[in-house]
Amino acid sequence: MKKRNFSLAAGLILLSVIFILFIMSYVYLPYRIDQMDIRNRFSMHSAEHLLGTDHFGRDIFSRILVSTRSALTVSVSSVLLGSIGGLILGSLAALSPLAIELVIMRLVDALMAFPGILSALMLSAVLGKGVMNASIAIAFFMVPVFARLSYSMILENRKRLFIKAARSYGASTPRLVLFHMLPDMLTRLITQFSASVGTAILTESSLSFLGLGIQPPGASLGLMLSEAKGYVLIEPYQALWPGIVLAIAVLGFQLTGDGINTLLHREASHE
Amino acid sequence: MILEATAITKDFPQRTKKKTFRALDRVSFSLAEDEVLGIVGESGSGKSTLSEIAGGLLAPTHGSVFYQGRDISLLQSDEKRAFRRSVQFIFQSPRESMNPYFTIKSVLSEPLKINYPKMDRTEMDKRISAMLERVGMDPDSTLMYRPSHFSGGQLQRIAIARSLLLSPRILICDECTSSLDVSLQAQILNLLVSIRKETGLSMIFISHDISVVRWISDRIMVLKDGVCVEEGRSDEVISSPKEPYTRLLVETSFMRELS
Amino acid sequence: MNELLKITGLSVRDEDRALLREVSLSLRENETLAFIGESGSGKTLTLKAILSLLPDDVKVTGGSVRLAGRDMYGLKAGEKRRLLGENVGFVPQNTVNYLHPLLRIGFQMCDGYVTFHGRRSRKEAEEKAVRLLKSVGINDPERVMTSYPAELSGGMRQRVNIAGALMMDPPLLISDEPTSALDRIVQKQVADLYLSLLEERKLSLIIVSHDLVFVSRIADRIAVFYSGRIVESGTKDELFTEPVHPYTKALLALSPSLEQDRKEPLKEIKGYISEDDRKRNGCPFASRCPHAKEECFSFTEEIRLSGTHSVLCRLGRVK
Repeated sequence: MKKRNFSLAAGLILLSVIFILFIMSYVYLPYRIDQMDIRNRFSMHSAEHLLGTDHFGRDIFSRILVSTRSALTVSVSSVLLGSIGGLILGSLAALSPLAIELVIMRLVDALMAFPGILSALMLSAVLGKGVMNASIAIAFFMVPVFARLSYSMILENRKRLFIKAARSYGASTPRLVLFHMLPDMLTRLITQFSASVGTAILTESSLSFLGLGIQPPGASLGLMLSEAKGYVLIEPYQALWPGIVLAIAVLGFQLTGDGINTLLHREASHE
Repeated sequence: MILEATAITKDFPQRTKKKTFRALDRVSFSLAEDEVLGIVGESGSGKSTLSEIAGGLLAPTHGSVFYQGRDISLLQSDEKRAFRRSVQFIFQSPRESMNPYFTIKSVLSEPLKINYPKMDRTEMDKRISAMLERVGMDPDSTLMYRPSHFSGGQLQRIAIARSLLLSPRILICDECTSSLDVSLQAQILNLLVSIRKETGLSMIFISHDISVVRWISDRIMVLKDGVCVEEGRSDEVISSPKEPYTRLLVETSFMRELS
Repeated sequence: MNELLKITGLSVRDEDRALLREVSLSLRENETLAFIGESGSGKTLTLKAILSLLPDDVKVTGGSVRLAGRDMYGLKAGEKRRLLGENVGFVPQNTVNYLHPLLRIGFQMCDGYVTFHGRRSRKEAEEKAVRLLKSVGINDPERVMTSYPAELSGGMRQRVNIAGALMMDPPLLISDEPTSALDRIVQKQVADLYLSLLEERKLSLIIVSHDLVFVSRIADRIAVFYSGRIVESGTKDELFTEPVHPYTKALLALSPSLEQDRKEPLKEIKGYISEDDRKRNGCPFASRCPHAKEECFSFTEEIRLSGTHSVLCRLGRVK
């Protein structure tokens, strides 16, 4: 019997919207993001400005396109960085002698107990403003989640008979992890990855909102919201559009992660 | 003696209690060239733990294992590798002993790739095909499939092929027929014996089924709760068991006389 | 004697293949019937059909199951449950997983009884559970009642399962591979326990096993399953001393006994069970049978050799 996977379908539809925006930012950008049209400040949507203009008379649609691009690049690259770091740390912990295992995992626990956004804030305050540093800060707070996940998966996998068999014909530990455990872990890592990208987008926006991420006159969803907050009563459109795009992006990634998870579980129970 | 273990003790830490659990208590055995040693015992008697220690997969808490007279815990990396190659396992569940994501071709080529990194592909393929034929599988209709394609009996043949590819001196069979149906048990046991006669390898054969162990082994060791209760020539142990436990084990394994 | 259970021509299939074909058997009071055969031969599925536990995608396509004189598949769900509850006690295969790990033995044993007899019967149920635990040879039933499954050994758990199956005083016990996880010594104890229970309570028993040593101890009659069909059935003596079907013969010669000559290879059945065996109208064993003729692949019939002994093979004709 086939059951529909609504999360996956909804997630993918939302994500396709985001990807269309992402691609459009490269192939068709109506205006430069810092191009000001002073006479046309706070304009409503029109043929000239699809989603209107902001308080400097900049085209909101163009700024959203570029913001989506930067949100995606920052979040995907930082989650990639964070997951690789977490994978290495988690595997190291699972495969080391007890003392090292304890040190690493308690460290991870400590990081995990810290609210992610707080550690990202602190880190970017220390490292300084800017996209690069924001990415590093986000990556840093992604590490414990992935470390935990890969640690537990390796512990679980290590008990399996084919691992014992492979050890009995001389397979080395790196080989066991790369060839025997990773394929099985990958499915769950992908799920976590997708959900984490959603969180990362939110974090990147928060950092930019607080002035620690992307700097003006650059464009970021968080920055746009931050700039719009002063005019929210006069010109709500300026806050509305970046808000909607942010919601779509976060929801899209979370739902897709959820959907992949149920898909894989269903397949696993079918065996 | 090709393999010798002296006073092996193994403790496992227990999660809930402070005390450790003693799985093996001062168990010794020796295995001569071209000999089959049978280990009988119920589940939980420590026989699997003993086999893993004998094969170097697990370190004993006390005691040592000697391969050709040398303590395996003191071997250098090259010697260790050679020891790994010389002792191969066949496990209880062939399905779980193979990575479900691998094709049979990669299942069989992996041990060769690890141990003979310089061997060229055609030579490797030739060896694999020859070995599959030896265990009664047709290479052309086997190699490209994953383990889930095959039945338990077929997979155990493939598992045997895998362990023989490294030309081991010792084969450790841990309950290798107990997950199989009776009609396949005999097939696999006969295959093991004929291979043993051809290659002259030594074998440690572990099972809870004393009639199987008696048939295949030269000597039998009876384990109970981690302690060796009796050891001796296979026919002697069966025909005149010294310990009450062994006697009970033998008595309960006869078919009820048919009146 | 009355027939407690009668199955006639039961056929069961899933979406793409026949799982059971024309299975017929009957069981009288105070009689033990053993199903033997390999995994996938249909013996456990037959049990499930009796217990009305067939999986959703499996359909009964013909035949009937009559329990205590009533046609089970003609009953409404509630009546069927009542009929089964009063007549059948089930002792499961996996002694480790069948008991809930986090509930005390006493609670698990009494649960069904209390559901059936109402809340006020709890005390009565507990007294009964203690009595039953004692009768299956447990010396300190009070301690066992308050234990968790993990605190008991494999043999103890199997005793608990048997006692649990007796809670409703069913005339029929059904037991699926009761000894597969146990070693020979405990196995013998379980067999002895069954024998004394049968004697004491005049129970009927259906036992599924692939272990001939165990079956030889306990069964009165035996049905041999192969690829979803009963290929031979008869009393224990008939089957053990003069088996007719080549599969039965092979099966009896298979498992190495302590008398097996160590220099001789073990007897074996060549080849494997294949999917074609199920599809064929002829004998399912034909593809592995040393006596198979061409006709075996297209046609086979059941031949009665005596009042109790029948076989699905042309070799029966010669006799």
